[in-house]
Amino acid sequence: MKWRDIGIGTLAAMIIWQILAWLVNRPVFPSPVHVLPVFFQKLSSELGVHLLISTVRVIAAIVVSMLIAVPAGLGLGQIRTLDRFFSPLIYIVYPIPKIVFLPVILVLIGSGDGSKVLLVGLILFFQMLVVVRDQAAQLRPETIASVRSMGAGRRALFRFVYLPACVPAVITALRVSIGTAIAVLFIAETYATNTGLGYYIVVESWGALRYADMYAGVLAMSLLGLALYFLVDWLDRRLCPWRETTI
Amino acid sequence: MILVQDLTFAYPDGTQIFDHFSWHVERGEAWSVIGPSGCGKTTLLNLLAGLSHPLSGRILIDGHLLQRPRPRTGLILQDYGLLPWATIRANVALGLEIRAFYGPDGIHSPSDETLSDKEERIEYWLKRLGIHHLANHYPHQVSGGQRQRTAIARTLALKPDLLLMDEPFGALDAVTRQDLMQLTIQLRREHRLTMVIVTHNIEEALFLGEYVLVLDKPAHRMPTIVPNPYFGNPSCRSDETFLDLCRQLQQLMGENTREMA
Repeated sequence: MKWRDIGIGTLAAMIIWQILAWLVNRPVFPSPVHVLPVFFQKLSSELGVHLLISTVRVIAAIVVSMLIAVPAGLGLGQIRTLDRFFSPLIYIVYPIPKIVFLPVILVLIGSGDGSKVLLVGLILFFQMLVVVRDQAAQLRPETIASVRSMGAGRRALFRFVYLPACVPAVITALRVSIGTAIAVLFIAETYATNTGLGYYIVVESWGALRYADMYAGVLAMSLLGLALYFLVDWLDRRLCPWRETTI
Repeated sequence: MILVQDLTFAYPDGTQIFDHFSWHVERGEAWSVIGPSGCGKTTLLNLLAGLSHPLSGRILIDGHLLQRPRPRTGLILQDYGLLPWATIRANVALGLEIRAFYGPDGIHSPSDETLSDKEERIEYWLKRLGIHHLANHYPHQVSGGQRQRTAIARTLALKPDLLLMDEPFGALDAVTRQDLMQLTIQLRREHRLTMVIVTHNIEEALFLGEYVLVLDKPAHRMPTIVPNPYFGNPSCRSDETFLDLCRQLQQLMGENTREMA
């Protein structure tokens, strides 16, 4: 994505929004002309704080889930007995929408940041686990044999083969699951908390019928998603330069 | 250099491949191992590389019992041996990086390995194999022949004394194959390598091996060895006697297979 394309996309979104606002013509659907000033004004105060808190929660969830999912996925992908035992378990738990665990998590962990990070982390964990496992299982035995023949033991194999092999898988998983992660974070933040974008949008703005504020929150949410996609793209270019050269 | 004594090996499904099989290779010799697919020739190479282990019997390389991949043995496979995420240069450097990772411990890396000349060695081998201009490309961006040159550079940068190759030129077109076979012969001479090449191609076997070990249908008990006077001599390719030898090998592979069946 280029900056120019982002600019054009933003402009198009604003124009469509403006037209829709004219058509709907109700307080519940304010035009960007009303929302944007509020957005910029609040961004430097309370909205900014909520945005920051939500961002930290998502990033913490990404880091924590990655630290657990990558080694676990590598293990499952390479050790067949382990996979045979755990795979059914994963496939039973994987399709459950993790948001249903929200009540359990709230009761067990409490309503602090930990519960949000855990919930979002759970979603990311399963996505990454499955993709990393498949990637590790796909590694050609010839590749591993030839690297072993150069003297590589378990540690060197991990460093020179398994780790670099699963980086693209992790990045793909992140790209796919960021949307879901933010959506779930949003819902989690509307319960039993007074921080985060979800709280700001639903409780503080919608609940108080401050529609311009509500849309400012939605804009902030979109900004968070966009920033995370940029982060993932940047990681992709930095860590997997060979993918860009694919014709 | 290679001493195989009473080697017995079977696949996990019970198929017996070697049954008290003995064979030896002197230092500096070039051997081809030829046989139909499924005859166990790759298995033999994996055993020599220390990647598989005999059920009984033993393999000595350079007088030492082989228990794990030996640092001074180089292995080149048909394809897929390169890391797709690493540039040609990084692939050539891989073996040296692994040695730097462990240090000269005598297990993963020869105990006399000094990596002070690492960069020069990488440069030298990139140039020697004619892939220096591709150093920053990725394996999928270069041709099959260039990939195989990379694999050779990567292996020879580790200064092996024994080179094992599994169908190294199988996936290449005729001209490239010819080129690389010529180069392999040259490099073997330059670096006094002992060489064992596994192939199913009779011409390739006669071009690259002073001796040809013929494997037919397993289980193998006695080695069938054919000395090859045409080793490294492409000029007599169309000679009647050369063609006779080809036919003889063909027969050895085929007939024994029939007898067994």
